[in-house]
Amino acid sequence: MYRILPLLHHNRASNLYDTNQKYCYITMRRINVIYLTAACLSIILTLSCGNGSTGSQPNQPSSQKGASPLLKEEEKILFDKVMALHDSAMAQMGHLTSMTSAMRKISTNTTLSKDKTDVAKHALESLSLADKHMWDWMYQFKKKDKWKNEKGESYQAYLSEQLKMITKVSNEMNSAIESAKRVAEH
Amino acid sequence: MISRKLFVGLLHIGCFAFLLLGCNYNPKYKLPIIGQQTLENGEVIDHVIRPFEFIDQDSNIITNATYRGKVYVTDFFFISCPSICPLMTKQMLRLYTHYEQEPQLLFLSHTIDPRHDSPIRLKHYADKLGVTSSKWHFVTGNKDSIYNIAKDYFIAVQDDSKGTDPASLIHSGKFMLIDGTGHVRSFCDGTDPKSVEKFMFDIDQLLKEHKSEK
Repeated sequence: MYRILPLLHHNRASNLYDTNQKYCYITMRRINVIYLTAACLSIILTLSCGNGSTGSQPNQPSSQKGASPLLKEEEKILFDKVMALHDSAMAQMGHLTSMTSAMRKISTNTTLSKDKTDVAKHALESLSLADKHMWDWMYQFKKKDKWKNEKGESYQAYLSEQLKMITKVSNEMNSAIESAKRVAEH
Repeated sequence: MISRKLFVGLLHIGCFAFLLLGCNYNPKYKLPIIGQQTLENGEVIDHVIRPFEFIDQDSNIITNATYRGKVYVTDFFFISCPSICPLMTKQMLRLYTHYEQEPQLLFLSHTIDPRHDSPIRLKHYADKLGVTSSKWHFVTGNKDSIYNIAKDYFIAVQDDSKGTDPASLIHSGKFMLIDGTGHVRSFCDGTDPKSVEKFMFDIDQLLKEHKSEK
């Protein structure tokens, strides 16, 4: 911070210098003005170029992800239940795919007994059906903004029906995965 | 006296330049290559995305070659997804808009529901978003191939300590940043605007690294 203090009181400071010193003083004053401006700019830039969060929105809890703001309280409770089951079923999708691959290998393995390959084929069919039912459910499910009242029912009634459907699909998926795991282990 | 003052002045300007340049880009810093390394014939090999072939919204074949020498952001989604995908698309569109004029950055979104998400449906989806096919490819294909390539991406970003199955991350909402040679260099939570904001710094860093190597 050399020279900054005297410059802030330049009237007093100017009396202390002769002509040459005044020239140097003015030059340094210019440099210091540039430096002070630059320092301010650099502080602003440093702060703004960090990992700031301009324009960010606060994190939503996972249950609210994808929830429509149009939902009434009762609808929201049902919607969250449907989404919770959907999320847990989607988390199983990787296992379902891995098990499908494993059952395919066992069912086509000619060195294994017919009983074993038949059980694997059955498990494979169950996995394929569960997979199809899950994707079909997601394809037909409508959020409130895209839902059309075609049957004269409320959106709440629609969600109740969807909750039954996704519960059934989720159970089917879990059951198919567990059966396939048992086949793979024995 | 003058030389001393000149020295101090230059020192001040140097400090300012250091602050100004230092906050923007450090040419010595490189994003790490993410994923497990393997040892082949005594040589350490970094994890690299295996070759792939899919069909995009214009029914064009998309392969590794489409992205060779470019930086790209990739994710896994499906159009009917009622939960996280709309949030992911919103953030991906934010990235697309931000980097629309950056020719070195491309986008690749894989559907995980190929039975319903046909190229025509993907085309309709892309048109609705108002994005161009040459910049952002929405791809579909054989389901096993999509899940296998997903494992390839997610195996790099999985949390080993939790013993996570990479396949289970297919619906995790992650965005991954891939360099011109198929290495995963960064990733973020594509449903979280703050995480995406930090991810943009990594994209900028990789783009600068990429351009400096050319």
